[in-house]
Amino acid sequence: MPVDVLNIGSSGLQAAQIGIATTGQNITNASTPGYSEEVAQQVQAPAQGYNFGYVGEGTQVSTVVREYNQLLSSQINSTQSASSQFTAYSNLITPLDNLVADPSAGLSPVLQSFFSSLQNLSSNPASVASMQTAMSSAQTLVAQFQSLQTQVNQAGTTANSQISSEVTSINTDAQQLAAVNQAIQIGYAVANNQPPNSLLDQRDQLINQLSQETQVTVVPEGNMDNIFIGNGQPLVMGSVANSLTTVTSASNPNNLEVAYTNNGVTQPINEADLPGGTLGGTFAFRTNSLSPIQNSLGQIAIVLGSALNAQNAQGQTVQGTLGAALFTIAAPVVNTNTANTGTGQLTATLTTPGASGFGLTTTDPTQIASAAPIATSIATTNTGTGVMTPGSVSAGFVLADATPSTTLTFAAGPPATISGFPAAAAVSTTVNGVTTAIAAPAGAVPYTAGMSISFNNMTFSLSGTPATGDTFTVGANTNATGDNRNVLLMNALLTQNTMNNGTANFQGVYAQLVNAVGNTTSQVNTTGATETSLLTAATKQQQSISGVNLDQETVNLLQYQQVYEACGKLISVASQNFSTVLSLDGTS
Amino acid sequence: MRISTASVYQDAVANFNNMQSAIAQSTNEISSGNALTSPSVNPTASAEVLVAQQGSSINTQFGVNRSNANNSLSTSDSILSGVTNLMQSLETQIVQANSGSLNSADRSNIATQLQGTMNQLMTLANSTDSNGNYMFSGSTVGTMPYTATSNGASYNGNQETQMSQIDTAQQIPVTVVGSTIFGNIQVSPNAYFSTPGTGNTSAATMSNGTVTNPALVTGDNYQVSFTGTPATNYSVTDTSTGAVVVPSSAFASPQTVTAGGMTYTINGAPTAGDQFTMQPGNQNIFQVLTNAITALKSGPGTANAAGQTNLSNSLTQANSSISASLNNVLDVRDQLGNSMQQISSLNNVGQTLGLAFTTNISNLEDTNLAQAASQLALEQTTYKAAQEAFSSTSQLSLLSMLR
Repeated sequence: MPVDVLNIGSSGLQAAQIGIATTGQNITNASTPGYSEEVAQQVQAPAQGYNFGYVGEGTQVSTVVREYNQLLSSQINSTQSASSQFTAYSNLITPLDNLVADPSAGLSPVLQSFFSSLQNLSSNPASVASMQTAMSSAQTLVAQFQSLQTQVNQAGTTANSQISSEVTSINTDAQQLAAVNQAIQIGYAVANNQPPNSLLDQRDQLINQLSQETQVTVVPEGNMDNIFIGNGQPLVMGSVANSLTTVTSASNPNNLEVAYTNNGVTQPINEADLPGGTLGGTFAFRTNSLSPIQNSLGQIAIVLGSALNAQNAQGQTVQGTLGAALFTIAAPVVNTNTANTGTGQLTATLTTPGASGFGLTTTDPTQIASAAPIATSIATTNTGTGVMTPGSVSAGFVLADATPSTTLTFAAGPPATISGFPAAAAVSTTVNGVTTAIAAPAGAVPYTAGMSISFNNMTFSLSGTPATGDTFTVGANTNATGDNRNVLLMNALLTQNTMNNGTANFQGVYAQLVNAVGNTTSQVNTTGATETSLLTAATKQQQSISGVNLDQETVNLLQYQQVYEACGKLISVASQNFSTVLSLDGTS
Repeated sequence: MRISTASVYQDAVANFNNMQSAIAQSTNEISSGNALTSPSVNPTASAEVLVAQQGSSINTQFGVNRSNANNSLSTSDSILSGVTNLMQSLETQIVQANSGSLNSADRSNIATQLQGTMNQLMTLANSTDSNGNYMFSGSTVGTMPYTATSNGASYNGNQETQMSQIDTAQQIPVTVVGSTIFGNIQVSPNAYFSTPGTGNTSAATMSNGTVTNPALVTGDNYQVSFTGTPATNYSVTDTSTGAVVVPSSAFASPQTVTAGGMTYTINGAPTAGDQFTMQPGNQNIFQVLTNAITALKSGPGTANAAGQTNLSNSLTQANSSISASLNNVLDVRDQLGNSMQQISSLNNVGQTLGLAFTTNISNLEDTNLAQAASQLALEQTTYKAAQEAFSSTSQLSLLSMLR
């Protein structure tokens, strides 16, 4: 009856040793990122059959496996992707969030102080000090616009460099993954198709790292994993890694795009096809936040600049000249898509970002045209009660329109008329909302009290009851250094709804911008927090399977230790039994 | 659920981080007093604050505008109060001058007084503000509004009043144009003055003119002169152009005279050398005074009854013109007073509005200290509890029991 007790004990010792080694591995790697708890799976050795029954032949370790759940791993990877996306978005937008409403950096305070200085100028139009203050405020306004735009553009540069560095990381990860795939293939082969656990951990860790960069899909094929990023872009096929690169966007030279090189042809990947991860977050920031902020700032700069320029051009400076443009507005830029194949050319008049090209054409305070360029007067000898409004000019007015001055003479009639219009001027009159055009020469025009009269881009109203022979003069506004009519109109621009199809003023649009930035930041932070807690939950779940619990390992250690001791005792018993048999010959 | 040892520590670190950042946020809110540390904290409130701040700053600016406007109005008003006094004394002087018992020396004294008062009036009309700008020359603040001429004075300014934005939708004039204050003396609308020549020896009178043919109205000054004693012929000259517009024609009282589209009637028996001047019926105070001074200086001529009547007529006309001018000044002062009243009531509105804006902004962005402090206390307590819990649970290791 050759029952091999020694062998049984020896197999137990070996199994306990493997168990202790595995436990040791678990303990030492308890805090190693990506480590999965390993378990030595022990099975009975095949029993020897005898005619009295089967006797066990000891134990053996069939394999050492990881405590691992594929589903939980991929859940971690997808939540990791989403969480990283929002973290990246949040990191990029938070500086802008702090910037736009900062009283010392935002647009609001300078906008207000600029218009305050214009208001003060309107109270004191002849004062050079007031003009100087207004011009200084304009300089501050422009400087603030430029500084804001610089900081916003800085965020664009950061986004571009983030895209480059992400692409580099993705390429590095891809190459490592391809190498690990290869090593795993070999690992299975050399160890009798046993799992190379540490390599598997390493691959999972790399995939997780890749998930932080972009969205990843894993499709196992044999022992190797094929890795796809975004919406199905193959990155690693078995042991072959594809590489990505960055190219300048064909439609916007300020933006970098990710491209894929295949057979020497570089093909840009659509942003929308690369969601998730830091890369997706950066793209989302650029498209959903950065461009609208740039557009909004540019829009305010352009409308503000052109509205003030237009109003200044309708006014007269203290030197008696018509006002010139005060602000420079970004020159239009047309970006031709470099991938266009046709020969079509587009021309544009305005584009964004506008705020960076926003500047002052002059620092000469006397270039602010406070006065209206025309003045009206009624003869001091008039005996009637006719009253004439100060008059205004419309776009296109030139000083020659008011020179020489035009004196209109009233005749009571009937019919009551006014005459004396320049022979070459077409006149239009508005009575009770009804406009009548009178071709040149106008001759005697019928008079109605309250009528509005326009010619040569000048408009004024006459009312009251003039007496025959009463004269009314409209002409150049000479020496009118105390005139503030035009600066009053400039003031009105602050609260006028000049933007968004006449529904908002500058401050309103800026408030909308602040609101949008705040909302996006808040939304990104909230969603980010949700994604982070989902990630935490998924990680906990995965750790509950794959993580190392030191107390458990301690218990296992004690258990294996005791098994080892017991097996030692078994061998000792077997050995004593053998000695007992040997001592039966009586010689000892 | 099975817990991995590493995740116990990771959890602790993540929780401590979160709690610390919450404490930092609360501390920031309390120490800055501003609950809107960035727009993301409350995007709607952040946008509303910007709009309210602009409203508040505009409201403040309108307050500044009103104070500037009020300064300018009250300066004008105090000058016009001087003008009122001068005009009242002019009325007294003219009434004195119209007393029949005066001799030529008395009249000359009064003329000198009138001249002095007129000079004072001219000084007031040419007043400048603290910046050296003329106050009554419209918007041509660098141009002296009135300069003396042989007829009195002419207005050189323009007719633009400076407006001030004193409220969102309201602009008021803050300056007064000189020609409104010192000019625009009309005895009756559409009428033209006729003034008897100061050397007239007869008591003949000429009515004020009315426009009978508007097409012919020129605005020029005319003069009627006579030949023969009593007059048998009259002629009319346009003194502005020098042209004779009515050649010598037969005179019979009452004689209708038509010139420049205006019709006058002469009554009585003029003598050779008598003259009537026809002027547009809209003069300034300096022209009126100059006419009066000239009349006083030349006196009734040969001290006959007709001359006395003519002088008296001239002075009566001067008196009514001065009253008309004084009325103009009082009208302007009324407007100034109204404007100042408007400013004062808008100031009250502005203050209330300012308070409302301040409250609104404070509600939107100020930290609710009680709430924030109790929030901070809660966060601190939680943090301490978490620390203590961690320090005791981290001791729970089987190995420490096996020693």
